[in-house]
Amino acid sequence: MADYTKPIPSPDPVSQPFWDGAKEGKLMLPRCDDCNRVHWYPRVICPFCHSMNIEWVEATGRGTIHTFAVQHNKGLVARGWGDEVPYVTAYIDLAEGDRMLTVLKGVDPNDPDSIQIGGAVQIEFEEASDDVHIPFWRPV
Amino acid sequence: MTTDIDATAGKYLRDKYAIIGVGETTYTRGSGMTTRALGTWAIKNAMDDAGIPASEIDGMMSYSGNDSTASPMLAGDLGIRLNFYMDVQGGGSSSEALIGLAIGAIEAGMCETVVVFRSMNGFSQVRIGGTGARASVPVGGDALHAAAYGWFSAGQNFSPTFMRHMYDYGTTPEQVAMVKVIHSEHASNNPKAYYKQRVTVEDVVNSRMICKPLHLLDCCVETDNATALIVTSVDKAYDYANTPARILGVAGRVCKPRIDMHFQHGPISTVAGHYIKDIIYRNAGVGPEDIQCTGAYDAFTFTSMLQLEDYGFCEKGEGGDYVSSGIMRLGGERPNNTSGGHLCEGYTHGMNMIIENVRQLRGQVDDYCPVDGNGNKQHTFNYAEPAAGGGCRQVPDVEITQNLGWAMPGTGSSLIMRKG
Ligand SMILES: [Zn+2]
Repeated sequence: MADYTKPIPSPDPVSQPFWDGAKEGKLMLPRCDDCNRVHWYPRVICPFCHSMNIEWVEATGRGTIHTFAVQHNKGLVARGWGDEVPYVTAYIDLAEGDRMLTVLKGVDPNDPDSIQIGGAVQIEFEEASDDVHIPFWRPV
Repeated sequence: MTTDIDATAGKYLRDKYAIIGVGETTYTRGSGMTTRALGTWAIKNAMDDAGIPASEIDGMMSYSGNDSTASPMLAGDLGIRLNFYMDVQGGGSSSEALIGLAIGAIEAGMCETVVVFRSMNGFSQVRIGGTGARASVPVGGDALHAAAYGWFSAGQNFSPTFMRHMYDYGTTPEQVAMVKVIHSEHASNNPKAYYKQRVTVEDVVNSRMICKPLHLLDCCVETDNATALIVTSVDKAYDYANTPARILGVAGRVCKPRIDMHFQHGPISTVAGHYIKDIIYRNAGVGPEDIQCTGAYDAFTFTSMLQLEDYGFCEKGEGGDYVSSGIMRLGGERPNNTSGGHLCEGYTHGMNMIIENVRQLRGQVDDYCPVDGNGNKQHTFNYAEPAAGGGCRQVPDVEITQNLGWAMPGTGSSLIMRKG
């Protein structure tokens, strides 16, 4: 954890419940109490119906790969990530709805044909600091 | 006072404004100049092109991403007294949007003739995407969409869209590589182009992978340059040196839903052109079938393809066939980016593609063809390389052109011009 050298997000009041859940290995998602839809990322107003009645629900942590890309360029990736290339970024269609960017674990970036769009994935968290555990996803 | 018009009608300003002058600096790496100096040089060239004195320019607009210089500096340097100026934030898709805003400023009576410029040391100073990552980033908004996963550059942002298009429609890297191949053919006949070397599909797909599915040669060049163009009303446009390029319609920074994360809304392989087409063709009073020459923004090979498809130049999903068919090639049915565009000529966030279409409409593209005693190009319409006896890149009898500006999959702009 002390050796986590990649950029670490800073929780803010709006997103704090997500980070609190992440520390316990749970995917917490904001859900609108009026239209019942889940949105990602956290915000104070539902982007679908503009309700401000947002509640937090524990999600299944399951989803499918919507699309992905393989990052090869050491020069273009942020400090800390340059040493990881090649690695795979992906969008995950969450089982509860909406879409989340991530980095896929447990895939072979040198064999991109083996990565399945539509394939099932499960969330996991990496402890970047005491307070911030960052979500990643892995094929089931 | 005119009262018999419906100012809310999209067609209201159709054909009432024109671009009368265009200019640029060299496209280089290592300009050895400030963006301020580059900007004055480009504006001077645009004024010389139009034959307009500084005293007849009274408006100035520009866009940048903290990598340029502001209008008051350049106006002062050039001895231009301004009645209006505005410098805005933004990159790709801003050129067309600012032309629309210049029309609005003139129409509002704020000024009469506006120069729009973009000045950037895009290679030697502020490069696309940057590299200076912060160790800690705020998580407000979509920060989990960027630094936390090592995302900083446009290519990284757009690649998921490109991948999904390949998955949904069977688009192949070889098809899309043809965008670069064709633009490189055009650039070979452009004395200004930074990359003049023609390349093959094999060259593209065998170049190193930057961010799958983007190979190195799927990505645009980064260069230092400034570009400028001059907008005025049709009343005045015929007072100057060139046949005006008349503006039929413009659409500016049109967005997909939820551009905060366009990736999340609807089909990820659909881009803003899907929405722009309903505005631009209505405003211009023409359709894709009327367009003879396109300037589809080519930050990447894929961006040209996605836009041409969503504007309706082909059916959705058939962009791969369209760009590899030869339609876009000089001599083809509807050439695209005849200057070589961002992939080959230079990176200007869209300005050079508008400048090129203005010159196409004049029939005076600056290729390797001979010039007659009156200073007019005698085009040969031989599109082979200069060394093979060609060197022309003029499209014959161009009446209508369209620019398809791109900021990202979720935002774009468009401009349709006709020969004056
Ligand atoms: Zn709601």
